[in-house]
This record gives sequence, structure tokens and C-alpha cells, in this order.
Amino acid sequence: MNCKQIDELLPLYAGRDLDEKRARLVSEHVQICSACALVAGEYRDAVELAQHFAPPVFSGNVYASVRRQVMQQIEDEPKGWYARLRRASRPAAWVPAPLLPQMFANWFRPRITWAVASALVVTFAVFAFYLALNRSADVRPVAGNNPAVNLTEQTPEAMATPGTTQPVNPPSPLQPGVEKRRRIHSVVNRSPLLVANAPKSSRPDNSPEFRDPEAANSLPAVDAAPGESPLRVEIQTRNPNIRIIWFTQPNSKPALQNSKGT
Amino acid sequence: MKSGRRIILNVPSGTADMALALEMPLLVDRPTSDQSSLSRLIERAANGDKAAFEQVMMHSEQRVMAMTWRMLGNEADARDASQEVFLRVYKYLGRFRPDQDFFAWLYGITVNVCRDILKKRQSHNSRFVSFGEDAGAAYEVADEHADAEAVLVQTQQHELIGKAMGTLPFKERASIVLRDVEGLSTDEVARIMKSSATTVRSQISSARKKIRIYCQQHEAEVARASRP
Repeated sequence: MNCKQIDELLPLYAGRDLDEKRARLVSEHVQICSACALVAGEYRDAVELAQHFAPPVFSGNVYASVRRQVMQQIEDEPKGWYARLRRASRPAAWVPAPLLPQMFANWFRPRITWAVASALVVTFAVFAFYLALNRSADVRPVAGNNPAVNLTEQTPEAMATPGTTQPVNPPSPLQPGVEKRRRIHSVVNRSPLLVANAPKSSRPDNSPEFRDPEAANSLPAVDAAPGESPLRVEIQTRNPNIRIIWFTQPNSKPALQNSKGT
Repeated sequence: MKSGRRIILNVPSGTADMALALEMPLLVDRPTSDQSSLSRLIERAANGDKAAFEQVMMHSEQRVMAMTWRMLGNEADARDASQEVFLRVYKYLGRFRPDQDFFAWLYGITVNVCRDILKKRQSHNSRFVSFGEDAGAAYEVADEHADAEAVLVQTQQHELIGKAMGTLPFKERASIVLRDVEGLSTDEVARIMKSSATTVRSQISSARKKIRIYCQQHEAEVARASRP
């Protein structure tokens, strides 16, 4: 090793911070090189000087004052259930724990924060699940692929009871594009159902279909055979205020034939 | 235990010849430094025993105060830092593991607190009180029978090393204080500084080079000043 390389190692050599092999190399070099020996001596003086870097002597009052202020602040720390909870959440200091649980314990510190965060997440999840359930209960099935058409078949008993509908088709999966229409439909379906042969007392006066009494009376009367339930078809147009209701008998002839015969 | 020590008062550089050597008793009443008793105290303090915590403070306050003074350079900051160190010790004592060295753990907290205080000081752009400017500070004399000239030399050395330390960056200063002054091993210093042993060796090497250069410059200035 040359003097330049030795010069880099001398600060560590002076403080005995070199490994044995390099310390021996430097020591051998210093014995034969007076310049490096001089520098090594200067470094040794610097280390010795640093070792005597003592603080001034502080009086006992200084320490007492520090102690008093620390204890005062500890006494002033908040008391109550939250502070007790925080203290209780501190890990036990002297329980020797295996490495892995200790590692996990370190990950989940501070514990109170993790506990609160977990509780919030669980609460939010439960609330979201509850909302999702309620919302899906509101959605009524839509007939076919056209979301603007709703087919319902009602028994006379059901027709006499406002607000009850029975879907003809099984529920179809909802498409994202029909969300708005589906909502309108949902509202329409929840309103009292209007039937021509229902007693007038069961008709809500504020219903849009019955604001005009003549329009209400112009609805076709359906003569259903005993034991046979009439087919009722509701068509909801794009305009939410317009709904087409069609009644027919299950065994009736096609309308065209009737029209030809008369 | 009561002990008498000889102390000298440090006066500003220009009037160094007025340094006074005083003999005064220092009433030091410290608890025994038995490791097992300290462990028991720490255990009790971790369980919320405030009296035990006060005893732990009495065990360690001198080391903490000395360390903070070495890192910050003046008594006022050292007091504030010591206070903060003990508050953090109280707060995090539950995390201390019995297989750890308590004082190494304490030094880790002390270094962090000193770093925070220095950062705050830099952000507020306040004046840095460098080492050796604590006028009137009293230093302990190693040899009680030293004559006045030796005492004077020692005082100047204190000032010199203090100023040299004041020129070091924080990490180098912390490394050199922990290694050379507190006598910890390089690996222990690395653990406290949360860095590698190689990095710590590099910091120590750099710090020693700077101290040596500072001392050389100081000697050259003294030689120039003493010339007619």
C-alpha cells in the first residue's frame, strides 16, 4: 500500500476502527514512513481530544428542574377513557415474544389507530351492504329487452288491491343504460294500480290517469269468464306521464277478426 | 453518596487568564447504577409507576444532558432536549424490549430529539449558539492536583474541541460523539443511527479528518498571533 491509500485509513486506524488485517498493514507502513507516522500521531491527538469533549458541570438544580417539568407534563397528560384505552393498548413490556408475533405486533402499531380504522371499515361495509340490499329490493323486473315495457298479469283479487303487481316474465339482468328508465318504472309500479273493473273507491283521486273522469270511464270494460283471469298489459312509454294499459281475455279472438265481422 | 469535585469556570476566550479554580463540594445523590435494579425500575415504569420512572430519569439524566449538550452546544437547548427525551421515553417505554441495551435505546431517542431541534432551529433561522460560547460554563477537571497552567490548557482544549465539533454536520457529530466520547462500538452506533457500519465508519473518518484540520488551522493561528 502506498502513502495515499494509507492516508485514507489513518483516521480509522487512530481510533482502532480498522479490521485486524488492514490495521496490521497500516501499522507496518507507519513504522517505515515518517510522514505517515506524523499524520497518524495527529489523528491520535484528535481522537484523544474528542474523547475529552466533556460538557460543563450542570448543577443539581438543572437536573431537578428538568425532572420536575417532565413529571409535570406527565401529570398534565389527558385523563379519561381515551387515555386509559391508549395506555391499555400499549404492549406489555416484559413478555418475551417469539420473533414472528413480535414482527406482526410491530406492523400493527399503534394498536388503537388500527382498531379504530378497522371498526370504521367494518361499519362502512355493513352500511354499504344494507344500502345495496334495500336498493335491489326497490327494483322491479322489466319485461323483455325493452325497459320501457312492463307486462303484468293480475288476478281479479290482485287487481282489486291497489299497488300489487305480478311479473309475467322472470327478472332480467339490468343493463347500465336503462338505469334512469328503471327508476321511473319502479316509481310507476309502486303507485296504486289502476284497473277498469276495480271499484271507484279504490281509485286514488290524485292519480294522473284519473284526473280526467271521462278518460277513466273510457277505459274498456273487460268481461272475463268466471274462473278465467283477464290478461292485463301495461306499456310504459318514454314519457313517464303516459302509460298504456291493455286488457284482454285469454281466449278471445284476435282483434282483426272481430273488426272484420262487424 | 456524596462526592467533592474540583471544577473550573470557563470564561470567554479573551479573558482566559482569569479562569478561576474553585474547590466546591458537589452534592451528588444518585441511585446505584446496578443493572438489575435499573431493569426492575424500567419494568415498573413501563407499567405506569411514575415514581419508578423518576428513578429511571435520575439514573440516566446525566448521560442524556451531556449527550444533548454535545449535540446542541448550549445549555438551554440541552435542557429542552433532555426534557423532550424523557417525555418520549415515558411515552414509548412500553416498546422497550428487555433484551435491548437501555442506554443504547436512550441514545437513539436522544439523537432523534436533537435532530428535530436542529431542524426546527434551522427552519426558524435562529442564531446557532456554537460550542464554547456558553460563557461562565464550568468544566470538570480530570486531575484535581493540576496547577493553574494545566487547568488553562485543558480549558483551551475544551474550547477547541467544542468549536471543532460545531463545524461538523449532524450525522458526523453524532457518530463521533457516540463512538469516541461515549465509547460505543461502530455496530452499536450504526444501530442507533439506523444506518450501516460502513456508513458510520465513513462518517467517523470524515469527522476525524475535519477535527484534525481544524486543530491544525487553530495552531497556525495561535502561532501567527504569538509572533511579534
